[in-house]
Amino acid sequence: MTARHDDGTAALLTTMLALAMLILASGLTVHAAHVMRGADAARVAADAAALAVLSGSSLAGGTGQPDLDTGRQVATANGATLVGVDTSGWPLSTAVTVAVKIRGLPPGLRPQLRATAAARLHPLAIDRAGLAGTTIGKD
Amino acid sequence: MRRPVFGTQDGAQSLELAVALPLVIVVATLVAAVGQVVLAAAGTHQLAVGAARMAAVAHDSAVTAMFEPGTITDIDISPASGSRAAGDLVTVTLTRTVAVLWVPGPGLQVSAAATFRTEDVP
Repeated sequence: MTARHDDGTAALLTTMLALAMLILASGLTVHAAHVMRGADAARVAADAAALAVLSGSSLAGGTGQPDLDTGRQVATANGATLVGVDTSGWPLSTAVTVAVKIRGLPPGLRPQLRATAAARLHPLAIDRAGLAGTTIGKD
Repeated sequence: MRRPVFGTQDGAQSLELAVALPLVIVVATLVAAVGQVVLAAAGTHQLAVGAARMAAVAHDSAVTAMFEPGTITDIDISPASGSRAAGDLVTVTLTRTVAVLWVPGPGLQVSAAATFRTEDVP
């Protein structure tokens, strides 16, 4: 083997290695983008689902039971799955956990992101006319 | 005496650079373009979330008034105010046109949607 051949092989190897690293970095960038997007979707879905579940509170004019069906529908519509509802603060508050599967990977390798959001009612003091009211908000 | 073009280390390095540099530039450009689209998609999603929150408690005109003219290509609110009642799910879909890598032209259309439960009857 000649020195010229060695130089050519080394150059080719270096180029291939650099290219492989660039492709790997690009793949990681795309994956990070999917994770960011999934995290954002999970946050929004949890937020919206928590408000929907709390709308079942009698203090918010609901039936008195957590509106799980609507919470589930809202989570699904925002690309997530409702996986848990904490009603220990019912009827004043609730905490909802949703899960989102990260896209961009084969189905078996998709990691799952979870997000939890709480919603709370703040009953107002009874005014002089004797009318009570509530405000609905998220924490 | 004639000097061989690829017979020295300098020549090999020049060849290596000549092969690798365009690839590096292409890949870096693609990464920048993907980043730009991802940022635009995230921004559009945030706008859709804000619009859906507004649509849950206000009339459609209040939702469209949130945006400066020209910033949004299309906005779809379903169901429209007048036909949505408290408890209905309202979905707002926004479409924006993004210029990728500052290239003049029609750009790339980015859409995002968000859904909330209607709290009030607008």
